Amino acid sequence: MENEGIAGIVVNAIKFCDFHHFDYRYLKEHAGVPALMIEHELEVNSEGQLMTRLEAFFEGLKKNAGIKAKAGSGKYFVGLDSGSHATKLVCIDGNKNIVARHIVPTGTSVKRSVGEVLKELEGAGIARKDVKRIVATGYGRNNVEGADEIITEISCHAAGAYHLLGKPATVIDIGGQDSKAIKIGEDGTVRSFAMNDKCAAGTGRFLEVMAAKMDVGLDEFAKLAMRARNTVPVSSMCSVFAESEVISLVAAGASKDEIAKGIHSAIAERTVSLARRINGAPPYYMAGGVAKNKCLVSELKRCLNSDIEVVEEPQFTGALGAALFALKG
Amino acid sequence: MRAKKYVAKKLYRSVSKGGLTFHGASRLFRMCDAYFSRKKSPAARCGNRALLKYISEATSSEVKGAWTSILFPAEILHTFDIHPITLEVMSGMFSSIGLSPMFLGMAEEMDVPPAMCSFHRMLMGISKSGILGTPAVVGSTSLLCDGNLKTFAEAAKEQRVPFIFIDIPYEESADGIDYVKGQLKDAMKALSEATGVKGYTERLRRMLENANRAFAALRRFYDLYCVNRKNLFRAHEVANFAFPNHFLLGRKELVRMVERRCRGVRSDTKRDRFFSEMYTGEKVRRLMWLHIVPQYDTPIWKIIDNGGTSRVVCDEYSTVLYDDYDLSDPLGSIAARLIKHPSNGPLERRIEHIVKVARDFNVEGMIHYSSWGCHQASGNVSILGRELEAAGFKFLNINGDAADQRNSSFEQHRTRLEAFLESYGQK
Repeated sequence: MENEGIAGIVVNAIKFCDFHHFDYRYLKEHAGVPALMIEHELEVNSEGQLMTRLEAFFEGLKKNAGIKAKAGSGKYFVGLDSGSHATKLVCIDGNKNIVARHIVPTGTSVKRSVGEVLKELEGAGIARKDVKRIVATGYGRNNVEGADEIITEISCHAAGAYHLLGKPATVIDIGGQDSKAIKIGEDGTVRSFAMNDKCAAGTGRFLEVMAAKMDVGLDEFAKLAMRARNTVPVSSMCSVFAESEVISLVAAGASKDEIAKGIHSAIAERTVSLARRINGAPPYYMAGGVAKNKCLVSELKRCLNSDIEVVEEPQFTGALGAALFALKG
Repeated sequence: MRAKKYVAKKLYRSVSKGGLTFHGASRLFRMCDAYFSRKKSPAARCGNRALLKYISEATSSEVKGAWTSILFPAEILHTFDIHPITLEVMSGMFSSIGLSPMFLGMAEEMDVPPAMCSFHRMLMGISKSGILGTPAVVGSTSLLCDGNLKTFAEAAKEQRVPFIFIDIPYEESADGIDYVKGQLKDAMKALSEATGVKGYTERLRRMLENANRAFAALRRFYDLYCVNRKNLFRAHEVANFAFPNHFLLGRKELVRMVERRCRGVRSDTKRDRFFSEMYTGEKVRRLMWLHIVPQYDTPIWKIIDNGGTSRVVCDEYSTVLYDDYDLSDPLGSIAARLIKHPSNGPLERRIEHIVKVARDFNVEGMIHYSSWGCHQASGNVSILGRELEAAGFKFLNINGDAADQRNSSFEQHRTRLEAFLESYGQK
């Protein structure tokens, strides 16, 4: 490794070939360079997650990495976070002041949702020619036409959170498709990160499926949970198993409030294990739209035994980070 | 069950905060167990008490302890007065009192692969937690689980204590026995150095005499239990007898424990109150359980082990019997016992054992439990099912997780088990 000037190690393990994970544990501790563990099943099933992990790892190895293009001549800088659930845009000026932010549902087309959110920006009086650079992030980042640079949501959430907090922190983001814990260093860069496994366990999607099973919207679901005096434990974390468990709990006469609380509690426990994997420490900051769910934040606080900071409109944290990268150039 | 979990969590918190030692907490838990086990039969309560007493002793700071895998030859440890604690058993015990998410969470933080067997992941968490203190030695064999080598080696590394690994070959040949015997000799030497105990030949002989008494008692229990209809033990309790049958081998406690079970079958008049009757009906569906049992409380037993319509009358692992040790060749005898275990070697050996037990217990159907991450279970199950069906038994495989309830779906299990029982038709 020394002879070849290796900057980082990627350990690629085949699912169920457990021995390689132990190699990773050793390398992470003793190799002296950053290491990343990825899993394969001899075919690519979750390309989006895999690419986010790899790109975020490479971004950590080489600062300012990404796809660069010719910059525009305007005075504004735009971050576009194309998430699985919603597309968010933040526009800042040269002094890092937020001048506009917009959010639209992503739906089935990244192209259409990005078009819509840029149209809203134009409606707010900022034309494309006024924008000097656009940085795209989120799951749809590689499909954002006209982006000057593409950076993962791991780096963008870290940059956005660091800007808002002004100090190192552990960021928790529960997204639609995945959840992440990100440790930010003194200089505002990503020190380490962990993402959930490929299934929906512990993600916003899990919350959606469970809310739908109980025939309520997401907001109402959180309110139900907040009302609960007790918790009915929901032990399954697989969304399919949990669905059937919820059905039998309802059939057994458990109250909807308490089941909802149990589901929130299960997600919080799952998420906290990600934070522990990266040796997360206070202050904790929660990014993403799920941070608006007061019950989940409260359950996370309980599990972490620590306070969690949530800013106003936390769903824009990633887009803000992207805009800051656009400004950095 | 709620009270048991509540007390266990309180005690665990106290231990993790340093307010209590594990030894102290296990003694308190043992006192409470009289209440938790009040519905069990007297024989089952006695077994529980003896087991908790041993675990409490083995974790005392005044005793040298060893962390071992399930089939590690405990006789050689007892020879040096080292008390083995089987970590898979501890994983199971913690799972039964609702603490598995805690230890699995710790393992996840350590980057232990999530696809690995939950028992082995938990043991990594247990090791990291420091709850059991530091053992004098860690030991495992290559028997039964492919996760043994990595996890136990890592636990030894983490605890900074010697690691003894005994590789068991498949074939029961003179060379194979010599190979294991050589490893056992090295292990004895290492244990002698670690404890300062010299001249252990006589001690080993005494342990083997005790083991022979236990083997004889186990054979008696097998013969009695084949025709037993008293509802003294629940099926998962009997399956878990396999654990002390190994880690207490060489100690008199095991002989006493098995003899108490025999006495229960012969003369006890009180049932386990989970069952509504003292005796299992003559026309119930008699089932056999293959591979490990869920360690946590699960409603599946109400479906298949209720004593009214169906009963799991035997299992694969607690029914393994051994020939008496040849006291003139102690290490050779232990080596032969390890190699001959039905879970070792070709699958035919395992099938032969299962079929013998099933016929002795007059079983009609078998349920195999493939636990999460257990490669041996999921890898063998299709051949096993095919061969056992060809031998005339009805066979059902269910997938779940015997240590982590979050990976199992009771509703899915219920459908499969009920459909399996329905497929028998009206009796």
